[in-house]
Amino acid sequence: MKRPRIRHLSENSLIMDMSEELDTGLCSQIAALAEAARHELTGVIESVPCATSLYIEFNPLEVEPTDISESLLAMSSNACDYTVGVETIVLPCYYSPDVAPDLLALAEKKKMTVNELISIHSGTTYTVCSIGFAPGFAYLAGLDPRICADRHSTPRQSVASGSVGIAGAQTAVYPRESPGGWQIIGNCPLPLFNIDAEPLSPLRHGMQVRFEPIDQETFLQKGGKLP
Amino acid sequence: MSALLIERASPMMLVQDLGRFGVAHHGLSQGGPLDLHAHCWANKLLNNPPNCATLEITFGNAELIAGQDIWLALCGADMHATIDGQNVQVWSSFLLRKNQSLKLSYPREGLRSYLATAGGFDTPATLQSQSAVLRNDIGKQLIDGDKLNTHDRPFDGSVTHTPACYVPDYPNHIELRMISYGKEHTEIFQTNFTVSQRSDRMGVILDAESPLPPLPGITSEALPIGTVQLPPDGKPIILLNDRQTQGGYYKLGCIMRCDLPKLAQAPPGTQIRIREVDLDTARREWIEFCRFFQSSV
Repeated sequence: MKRPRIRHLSENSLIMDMSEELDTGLCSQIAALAEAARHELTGVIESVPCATSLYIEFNPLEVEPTDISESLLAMSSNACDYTVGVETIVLPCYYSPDVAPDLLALAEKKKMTVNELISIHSGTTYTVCSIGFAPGFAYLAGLDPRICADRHSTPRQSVASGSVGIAGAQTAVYPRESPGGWQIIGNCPLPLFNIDAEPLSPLRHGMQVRFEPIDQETFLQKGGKLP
Repeated sequence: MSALLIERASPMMLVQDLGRFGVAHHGLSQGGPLDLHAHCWANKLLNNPPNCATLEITFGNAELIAGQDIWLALCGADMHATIDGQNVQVWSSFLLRKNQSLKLSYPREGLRSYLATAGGFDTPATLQSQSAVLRNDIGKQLIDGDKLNTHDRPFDGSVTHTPACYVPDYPNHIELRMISYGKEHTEIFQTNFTVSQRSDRMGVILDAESPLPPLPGITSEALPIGTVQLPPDGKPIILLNDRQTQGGYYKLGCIMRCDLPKLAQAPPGTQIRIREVDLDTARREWIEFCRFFQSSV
């Protein structure tokens, strides 16, 4: 890994760039560094792992920007110490036109059967490369190029909670009902964000994610809802 | 009996403490008062620490009735507050007696007022903060008939005023200083902007006669408050308290924090010029602000 570079963004925030391009192998390392910075460094207010970088916001009354930069660079040079075991989570997914308005059209556009599309999407292991847009919304990298798809040019007013979507080379689950432009191919009945729960979300930066196809009965048993 | 009844709510009325920190990695916005200067002064006038929750009142036109004798302080835009027809000075503390009503009209200048109470408003906290962030479904927009309690804390009962040198004007043209991220795109310093109607607590959109030349996006990363993004339409967005946690638009720089209260008081149509500031100056002024109010965010 190249020596990371620090960019000061404002009076009390900075970014440590870890790589030029998205490298899914690096995601768990950035997550571990973010965790360590949050707990071990004085004066850290926010520590946010991003796709290729780590964002830090600090209390200027407690720590000098130069000190925090040096601590971060030192931590990253010992990055192996911060590489944790990568966790894998399996998310059940009901792939059906009942809940997925774009499933049939996308399969047709990709000149494949719906079952082929499902087996490609559920046969890949993804990496959480950032969390944002909305609470608990995890961008999952590693989508098979055969099923990559553009966003809708006009976003839908409302995408159902649990919707599993595709945009570009990424896939994601909408943790709650919201507007959105992703191509919806399924629905995951598990709650992915709960403000009253600990942890708030089962998904964390750097985690590995797989989707497991389920039938309608299982979907409903697990709390899924048909529109 | 609750301390304060909202007889008539302003178009936007939210409870705000300094904000919700340490949870941005879950995708949660920080929230907090858009005009930190006015919020902190309202608390200071009542000897409250800066993290006490105040009411952020936008656009005015509100009425509040006291359920008990209650010490309040009002800072920010002058909304021509009255108690029983008597004028109440903005940037001051005052006593609202039981059953009296505090009426606020529309602001002639500025946009937001902050109402503090001795001890702070007592509303449920979520992840250690009382700040309402509507886009995260946290807290609520207060409406007619809502009641607010306060933390019981004695106050010595003296009327206090913010010294005139700390009371800002809210003119219809303002200048904001930006920490620039590069030397190559200087158009932003030569353009006359106006605050767009589409602005909200997430960010202020700047309209211009001719939009800035578009620049390519970047890999998404987290964004500090004040970030100036340039989306493909060429209209810069200055990100505020309820901003999304990460973004991938091109970034021109960051408005210095001590200038953001001016922006928070700028209604749509306000003229804006941006000029460059060095990071050291911005940092020095910010540290001075934090020391003054014993605040860190």
